[in-house]
Amino acid sequence: MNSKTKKVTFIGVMTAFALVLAYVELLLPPIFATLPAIKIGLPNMAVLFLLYKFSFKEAALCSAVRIIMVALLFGNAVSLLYSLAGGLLSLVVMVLLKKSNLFSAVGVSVAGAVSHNLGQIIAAILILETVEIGYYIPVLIVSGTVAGVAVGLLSSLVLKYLSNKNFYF
Amino acid sequence: MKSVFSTFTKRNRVLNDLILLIAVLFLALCVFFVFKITQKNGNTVTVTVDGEVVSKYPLDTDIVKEIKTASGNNTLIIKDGKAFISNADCPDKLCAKYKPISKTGESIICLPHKLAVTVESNLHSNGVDMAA
Repeated sequence: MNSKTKKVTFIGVMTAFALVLAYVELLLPPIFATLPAIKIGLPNMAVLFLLYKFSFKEAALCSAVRIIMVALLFGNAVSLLYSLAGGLLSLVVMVLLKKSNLFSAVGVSVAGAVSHNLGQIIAAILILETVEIGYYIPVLIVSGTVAGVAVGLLSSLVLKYLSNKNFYF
Repeated sequence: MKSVFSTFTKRNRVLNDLILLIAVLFLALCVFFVFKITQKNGNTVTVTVDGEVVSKYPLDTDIVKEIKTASGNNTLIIKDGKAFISNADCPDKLCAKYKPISKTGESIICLPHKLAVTVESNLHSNGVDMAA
């Protein structure tokens, strides 16, 4: 198999992985019933992984496909908008932070999670035309930080394990 | 490809992570206080008894409502966009001493009756990102 085929397959597998993680997350009881936006963000593991193993392009592709698929399967048009806003902002921030080479995967993940939540709340403010939701920003930043640390540590472990086993590369 | 895990041993990166973490949490604190100072008016009053939502009233309609709980009654009044409890048959009557509430997140609590009256904005019904 040439490396391009391998790569395409790998991105596909990671996208499927992200979808499964999104589904698993839906099955978990909400941490705060009143704020369904607060979640761990497990699918970000796949995106983070691709960002580290390949580059921005592959991570963006996986993220976009994941977001559209999740909206089609479990969501609606509005949830798609929120997710796209969150996903896009989070991706841009993660790419920039990774490029800066100043932070570990945990830092990149934290910034990604927090900016994901912020992107969603900005979209919500624009869509609902109300600034009041901004009231949730502090809660979302804190929850994003906690989730980002968890996902970042998990991803670091996976990346370490896979590089040790000389998996794929 | 460098092993990403090596970043754990690179002290400066971990330090940067920590700085990022603190900066982000500090940002949350700043936003929290900004909102605390410039809090917006809510539009709904939610009445909960023993943790369960009993009823919701819009803040823009004046009403006088007797709220019956297992332990006693409270009189909820909504007037001029503000909610307060005018009278209660609980022993301490602390809830009647609360100032009228109108801003999101403000609440009046009557402990003896396990009653809480909270001002909210109707946000949850819009379902911010249920799926992804």
